[in-house]
Parts: sequence; structure tokens; C-alpha cells
Amino acid sequence: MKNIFSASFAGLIRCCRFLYFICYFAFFFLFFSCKKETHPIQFTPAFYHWQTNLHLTTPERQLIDSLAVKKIYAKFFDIDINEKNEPAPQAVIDIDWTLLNDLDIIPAVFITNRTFKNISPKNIEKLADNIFIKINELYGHPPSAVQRLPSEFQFDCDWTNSTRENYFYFLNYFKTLTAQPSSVAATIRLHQLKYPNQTGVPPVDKGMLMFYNMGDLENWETDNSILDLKIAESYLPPIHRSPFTTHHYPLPLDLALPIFKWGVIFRNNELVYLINDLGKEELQDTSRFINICENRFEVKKSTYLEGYYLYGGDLIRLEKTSPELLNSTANLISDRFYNLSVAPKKTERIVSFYHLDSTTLAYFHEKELKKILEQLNAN
Amino acid sequence: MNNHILIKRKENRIRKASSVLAAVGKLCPKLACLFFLLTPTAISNACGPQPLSFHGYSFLNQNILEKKESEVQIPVVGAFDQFYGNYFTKKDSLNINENLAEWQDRYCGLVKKEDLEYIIYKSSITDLELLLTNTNSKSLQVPNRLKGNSFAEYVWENKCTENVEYLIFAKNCEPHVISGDNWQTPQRDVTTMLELIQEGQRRFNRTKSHYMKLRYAYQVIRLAHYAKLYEEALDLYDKLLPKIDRLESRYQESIIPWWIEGHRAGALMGLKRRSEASYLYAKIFRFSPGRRQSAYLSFSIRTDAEFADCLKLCQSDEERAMIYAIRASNPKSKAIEEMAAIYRLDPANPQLAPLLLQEIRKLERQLLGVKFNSQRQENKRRYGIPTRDAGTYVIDLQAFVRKIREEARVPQPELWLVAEGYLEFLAGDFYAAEKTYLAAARKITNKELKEQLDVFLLAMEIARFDKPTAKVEEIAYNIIKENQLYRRYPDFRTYLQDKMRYLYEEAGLKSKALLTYSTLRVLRANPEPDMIDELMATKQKPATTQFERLLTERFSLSDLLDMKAVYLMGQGQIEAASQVYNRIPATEWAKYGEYNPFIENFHDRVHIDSSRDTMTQTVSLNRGDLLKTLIELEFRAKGEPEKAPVYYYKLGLAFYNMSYFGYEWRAMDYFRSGTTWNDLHRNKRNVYDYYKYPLGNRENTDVSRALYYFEKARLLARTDELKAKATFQAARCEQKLFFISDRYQPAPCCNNMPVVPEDYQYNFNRLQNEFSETNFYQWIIKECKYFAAYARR
Repeated sequence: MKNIFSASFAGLIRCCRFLYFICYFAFFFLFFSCKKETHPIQFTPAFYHWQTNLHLTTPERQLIDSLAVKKIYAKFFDIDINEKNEPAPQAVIDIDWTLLNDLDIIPAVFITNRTFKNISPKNIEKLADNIFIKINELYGHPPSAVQRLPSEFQFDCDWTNSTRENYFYFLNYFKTLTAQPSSVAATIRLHQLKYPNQTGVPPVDKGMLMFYNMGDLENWETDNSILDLKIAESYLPPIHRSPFTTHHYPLPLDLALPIFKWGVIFRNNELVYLINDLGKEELQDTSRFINICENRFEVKKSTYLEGYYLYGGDLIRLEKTSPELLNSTANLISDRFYNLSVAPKKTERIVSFYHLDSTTLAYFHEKELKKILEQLNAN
Repeated sequence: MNNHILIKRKENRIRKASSVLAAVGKLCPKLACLFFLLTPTAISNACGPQPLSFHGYSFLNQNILEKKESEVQIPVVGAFDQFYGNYFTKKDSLNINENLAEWQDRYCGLVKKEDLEYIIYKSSITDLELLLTNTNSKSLQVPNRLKGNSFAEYVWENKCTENVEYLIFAKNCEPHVISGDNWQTPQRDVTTMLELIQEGQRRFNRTKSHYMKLRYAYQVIRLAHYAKLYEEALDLYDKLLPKIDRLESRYQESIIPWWIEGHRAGALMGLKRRSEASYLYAKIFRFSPGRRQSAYLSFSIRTDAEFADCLKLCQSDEERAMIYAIRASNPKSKAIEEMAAIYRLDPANPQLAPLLLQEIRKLERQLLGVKFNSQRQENKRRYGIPTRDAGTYVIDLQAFVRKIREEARVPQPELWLVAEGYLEFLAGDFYAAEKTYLAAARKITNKELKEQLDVFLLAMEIARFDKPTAKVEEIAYNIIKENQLYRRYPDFRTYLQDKMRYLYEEAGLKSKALLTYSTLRVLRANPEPDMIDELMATKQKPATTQFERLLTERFSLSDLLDMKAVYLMGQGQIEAASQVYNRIPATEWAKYGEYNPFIENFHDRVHIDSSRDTMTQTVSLNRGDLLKTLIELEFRAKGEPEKAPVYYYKLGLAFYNMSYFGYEWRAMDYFRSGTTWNDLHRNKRNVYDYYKYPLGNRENTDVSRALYYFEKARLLARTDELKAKATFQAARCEQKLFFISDRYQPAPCCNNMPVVPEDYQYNFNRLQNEFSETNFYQWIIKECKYFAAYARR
């Protein structure tokens, strides 16, 4: 009898332990695992300007004003290795400050990855000094009497394992050159967001997540390498955070969204050119181009197109971000962006549209951009 | 007391944490599956590591071009950067040299170049003004600073004041036209530039020398161009140039007109008159070496109409051909179209042959050795090479080359014949290629072309190797040792290596294939018995070929026997290993290292301090003696019941310590990788990927033989202390067997101690239940943290 009793008692204890564990785990799971972050983020609009002439047109300025844009990220120059095998600025911007009054112009510098290959720390410091001087030189030459100073410096470099150390050293050194309140930012590509442990996190004050160029550009079969919602989703954390979610990128992130189009030219099954702002309208001449299917063309006879010489048989894939696609993207991002990066958990973030020019704005109107902003801010 | 409470609390926390972890551990696989099912994992191919470099070969020699053709300016043969790399770095000095040469020529060679260089590029305006004053004076001599300068003395003596005046003016213009050092944006002061343009025109009119007029014209047009006064620049050109006497200024010989044309082209480009500008750039490209780079880069046509207009501007077929050649020189071009156009216009055009080489170079990359290229899969995956259209393109080019060769209107038809043969070879038609080469050999007289033909023939000879027979091996050996072309053309090394590797692989001769590109070290990481036997057979062959000797000269038969013995030890075949080892002369045994796997060790470390040894044997043995000792211990264990438990225990120690988990792993392996830990449970063959070793890395992870000996030792032991030790060691083996089993799943995070399931804990249970009273138990529970954690459950 005693044995039976003790056996039942032991069973009861085991059962209780089991229930205790279930409850413990359920509590843990419900209150921590499935917590939805409810902090709203307010996206403030901005534009990228990636051409060598920053001369705003009146319609561009009107759009900027109507969207209440305060910042323009302008590419000041590229840095690449020159014929003397030294890093040097190329495609230096020419700024007309006339219509840029009261706008915060953020200098962005694109640095090729090869610039950071085989470069000594001393030369990295020299490069940073030169860039700093060059930016200030370009910044300090407005015809207006007001001496402008950048509030932020942004660097764009698709670093790799072999160049990471040098690039990060460069960023660290550059930070020592800037004074408060100027901050230093770096662009973050999607694979860098997804694999911060492997790619490293740049030592900057904040990052600009480039939410585009996510598909396999070099594959003819890709539909749209600029923006693909299925691929985009794989880079984003789920709406409901779980303990297994490791998407918190250790830098505060702003967001760059694409509003551009291009043509991808294939020759012998190999990508040969990217032609900016190419659309169907430019390929209407049936004596030169054959429309194979939606967004895909074949060059019928050799011809020049936007300055590129194409041979008969070359293939063209048109890619663009439509307002509808960008709207869906905004919808996808709005709930999840908060989970993407860590402190400081300020609610205001920049969404910068890439990029500002008359051709792009011809198919992205004020109304559509406002709608995208509303969508982003509707979390 | 406080300490005791703290320890208790800590233990409670550990217990709770362990139970939670155990439960989470059980749920983890399911949760992980759920997580991966719910989270999209597709990652864009666009992102990833940097591509490996392309692996291919080229046997083209640019020297086959005739002098006229090799002076052709288009950046043919290979990528632009590679071809023009040296040229670009030299372009400044090229311009300076051209200018100095012209000045020197104008002074009939009476002034030294270095003196001219000093005056033109290094002296100050003050120096020149002083020289001008002294030259104008009847009493003053050459200024002290310029004494001994042949140019200054010539000017002073001949009263060439116009030249000095011009140089002063040019130096005044210089700050407004420099391009800066990339980092400094040159500041253009347009007002001053306009004043200088006016001043320049006044001087142009005043000066008597027409050569100086030409130079003044250059200065003012350049100023107008850089001031972005494009119309003004064109007006100046139209206004000033006709006033210059062509004969007196020796216009045709001078470089200055081309410099002027460059600025005129720049002004036209500034006005978006691209056809005219490009036409001018093409001419400059053709005739002015110093301005060639900038002209090539500035050539820009954007539409078919512009191209047609540009052709219309051309005044000869040669000029038209140049326009096509510049377009064809784009590394991404399919230049047959342009070559055909050039040929139609001017069959003898010197651009044709360089363009042919350019296209052949592209096809070499696509097709040469594509079947046996050792990186063919990587080339395909990363670069899409060969492209789908490569076969079609080689046939198209072949047809074009054949047509040109047949029509024989080109200046060097033999080159086209050789090229035709090479294209046939690239297309895979060796028979046709051989016939064409033969025909070419009869016609060629040019030394360089003959060498090129020999190179192509050698490439085809290697490509024709069909099977790795002794004859082929002999030929390969002779090529390596004797052939001068093999040494002079670096790509032959990898070409032949890849071919032999491919042939051996096809014939199933894996070890020989390995040795064509690597060393025995790769095989040591994963000694495959078949490959070792194959190599031993090769080594012992009565008549090895010279190529085989070349492959195997760096190791001996003993090295192979040692490797085979090591492999057999890893398989637990001690007797077989010993037999193999006995074939190595005993005098050589010592060179394969000494080992002592008998040290009693209770810690999982691959390096131990032997001074902590608590057992008996501390003498290190070579591998041969070690094998004998192991056999003897087993033999004695069977024959001496009294000592059997100790012998079995020692055998257990030896097999554990020689395993992947033991400190003496070198006794049974050549290479151990710590990173293998993460994959132990994933691999049943015990061969793991390792970046340095293409055959993989074999690890001796199976400790079941050690477990067997420890079990025997426990069962036969007469003291509880030895039983306890043997039980503990057996428990270690069980734990490791769990780590290599399917059931082991590494903790998802935090490097937590893995939870060993019950059926891998027999010996821990036994140690706790049966031997907890032993001294060893009391000692080990303090010494071994994981056992202590287990015992606290």
C-alpha cells in the first residue's frame, strides 16, 4: 500500500514538475518570444543625388518642398585607384547652390573596394585627410556668404573581408577629423545587415540601409534585381520577435529606397552594361529592337543606345521600381523596421529616395511619394 | 556559512538551469525546424564573397604583329588597363619628351635637352624675365643663375627675345590651365584668363616667328577651352590658325597642331558637337602619341546618327577605319563587325591584325583547354565561362579570317593563316588545325610568327594527349625539361599540369592526378589506401617513366609505408599496421616521430603536461616500436591474468590518447583540426572539409576500441580503485561516442555543456552507483567539472 501510495505520489510530483515546466515555457514564450514591438517610427523623407551636377530644377525644388524634405544626400565624388595607382577623387560634383537654400546637403562619398586593398595605415590616414579637405572645399564654395558645414558625412563602400580592416580603420580615423555635431555614417547593404558577424559592423554613428539591388543582377532570368519582395522579406525580421530573432543590427539605421530604373544589357549571356533611366519608350524602334516579352528585348541590328554600342543579338532586361512595388515594400517594411536595428531607439528615421532627377520624377510623382511615406509611417 | 549558502544557491540555479536547458534542448530541434520553416532563408546570389580569379591560359604573343601594326594605338590584346597600364603611367613624361624634342629640333640640336627642361619646366618667371632683360641689354651677360645653361646662352647670344617672351607668357598662363593633382580643384579665374587671351592675341600679332605664333595660338585656345568659352575657343582657332605660315612654322612636323586640335575637340564636345569632336579625337589618337590616352578616353559617340556623321567627316578610308577600330577596341565588343567594316574600307589597314589578336584573346579565355581546365566549374559558376555563344563566335571569326586569308589583300597573310589554324584548334577541330599549321609552316619566314606557330603546335600537342600512357608521360617530361617555349610562355605550366591531372583522373589514377598539382601533404591529411597503394606500386615499378619519377621524387617508399601504417592504425588494424611498418628499414623509424600514448590523463586536452603522469610508462616510442608494444600488451594481457586489467587499461589509454580527443593524436594522424569539433556529429566517414586539403581531413574520432579495453580492464580488475578509473575512462569514451553520433545536437547558443542522454551514461551511472566510496571517485569529482555536474543531478 505504501509502495502504491509513494508511487502515485512520485507520479504526481513528476506530473507537477511537467506542468510547471510547460507553464514556465509558455510564459517565457508568450511574453518574450512573441512580443510585438509597438514603438512607432516616423520616417522623414530625403533624397539621394548621385550625379555630377547638383543643379536643382524648379520642379525638383517644388517636389522637395511639397514633401517637406530637409536633407539631400549628394554624392560629392567617387574614390578609386588612378593610373598612378593612388586613391584619387573622380566624378567630382559641381554644385549650384541657388536652389539649395535651407536644405541640409549631406556629402556622400563612394569608395571602390579596391581602394582599400594593399593600402598602408599611413596612406589610409592621408586618404581620409584628403577626403575631409576635399569635401570641405566643395562645401565651402557656395557663392552665398554663408559658410556651410556638413551635419553628416556618409561613406558608401561595399567592403569585403579583405578590405574590412582598412575600411573600418579609415572610418575610425575620419571620425577623429570631424567635430560635433557632425556625424559619420556608412551605407549598409542587405547582406551586411543579415550577416553582421561575418561582414563586420562599420565603426560609425549610424548606417543607411540600402534596401535595393537585392536580386541576381547578372542572371538573365532574374525578373527585377532592384527590388524583389520575396528576397526583401528574407532580410527582414518577422513582425513578432522571438528569442531566435537575431536581426538587431548593432547600428541605428536609416532607410534608402529605390526610385530608379535601368536597362541591363547582356551579351553572350554575360552582363555587359547597365544603362540608367532606360525604359520601354527608348526601345520602341522595331527596326532595331524586338520585344521578346514583358520588359525583355533583343537587339535586332547593331545600334547605339544611350551612348553604348549594342550588337545584334544582345539582350536587354528593363528593371524599375514602380510606385505600386514601392508601396508594397513600404507596407512590408513599416511593421518591421523597428526590429531591424538597435539603439538609440529614437523614433525619427530618414527614408531617402534614390535618386533625385527629372527622369525619375517623371514617373514618381509627389502624390505617389507621399503615399509611400504614409505607408511607411502607418505602423 | 555564507559561502555554503551561496554554493547551495548556485547549485540550485545550475540545477534549474540544467532542467530548463534539458527541456529546451529536447524542444530545440522542433523549434528550430519551425523557425526555419517560418523564416525565409533565400539569400540573393548578388551578395557574397569576392569572386576567385579566373583560371585560364593564353599563348598569344603580341610580337607577331609587324612594326606598323604594333604601333597601332588601339588598346588591343587583353583588357585596356593591362595593355595600357605602362603607357598611362608614362604619359606625362611622353608629353614632356615630345615637347622638349621639338624645342631642341627648333634649335638645330644646339641646346641640351636637360637645359631646355630646366628653362621650360623648372625655372621661374623671374629667371626668364632676367634672361630677357639681359638678352635685350648690350652690356649684360647671361644671368648667373642660368650660366652654363646652353639654351639660355643660345638665346642670349642670338638675341632670341621672342622665345623668352613666349615662355614668360606661357608661365603666366600655366596656373589657369593645370588640371590639379586630383585632390585640388583648379580655380579658374575667367576674368584673368580673358585678359591673357587678349594679351596672347596681341603677342600673336606682334611676334615674327610663325612657330611662336603657333604656340601663342595654342596658349590662347587652351585658355578659352579651360575657361569653358567654347565658342571663343573655336573662333580663335578659325581666326589665328590661317594666319600661321605652314611652311615656316613647319606645321606638319610639329606636335603643337595636335595639341591645339585636342582643345578644339574639347570645345566641340563642350558644345555637344560630339561627331566633330570624336572625329578630331580619332585623328589625335592616330597621330599624337602624347595625347593618345586622353583622346581615346574622350572619344564619345552616343547615337547611330552621330556615328554616321562622324564617318562623313572622315576624309579617307584610313580615317574611317580608325573610327571603327576605336569602337572595336572596347573590351566588351564583338569586333567581327568592325573588322569587316575596316577590311571593306581598307584591307591593308594596320588596325586589323591587332583587332584579330584581341578577338583571339577573348576566345582563348572562353575555349582554350576548357575541357580539362582544373577550375572549369568555378569559371562557369562565377564567370559564366564558356558562354553559350562562344562556339558560334569562334566559327564566325574563323569564317571571317578564312575569307581574309583567301583574298590575300592583307599585308601579312601568314599571320591570318596561323590565326585560322589556332581558331580551328580552339573550335576543337585538331585535324583542320594541323593541316592549316602545316600550310603556314611552309610559308612563314618571320621569326616571331614562326615561334608563335611553334607555340600553337605545342599547345595542340598537349591538348591531343588522350591517355596517360608511358609515351604521353615521356613526352610531357621532355616538354617540361627540354622545351624552351614551355619555359618562355608561363601558361604552359598550368596548361600541361591541368591536362595531365585530367587524364589521370579520367583513368582513375587519383594519386598521380593529385601529385600533378599538389604534394603528399594533401594525401596525408586523408590517407586513402587505394591512392597509397597506387603510389607504392609506382615507386616499386621496375621501369618507371621519367614523368613518374618527377611526380614521386620528393618522397620515399618508407614515407608511403608510414602513411599506410598510420591509416591502418586509425582503422584499429594494429597487426596489419605493424606488418607494413616492418617493411620500413628500422634505421628510418626514428624519422617519423616518437610518441607516448600511455600517460594516464583525465582531462580532455590535446596538449598535456607529462610531469603529471600517474601511470608507469613515460618512455616515448617510434611508431614501429609503439605498434609492437601495443601488440605485446594485448598478447600479455591474454597470457597473464594477474596483470591483464592493467594491460587492458593501458591499451585503453593508448587508443583513447591516440584518437582525435587525445593528446597523442599525432601517433595515428598527421593533421588535426580544432574546427572539426563543430561537425563531428555530421560526418559518418570521419572525413571533414578543410580549406587546405582538397581530399578532406580524416580524423580518428571512433573511441569504441578504447572503450572495449576499459570495459575489459574494469571487468578483470581486482581493486575498486582500478575499476573506478577504468569506469571513468569508459565514461569519457561513451561521451565522445555520443558527440559523434546522430543524436548529438550542439546547443543553439551560449556554448553550454551538452546534455548526454541516458544510454550514453552507463559508466557515469556505474561510477556513481558502484564506486562512490573509492578514493578515485572522491578525487575525480573535484577534478572533473562535468562529472561533478553529472553527479549533482
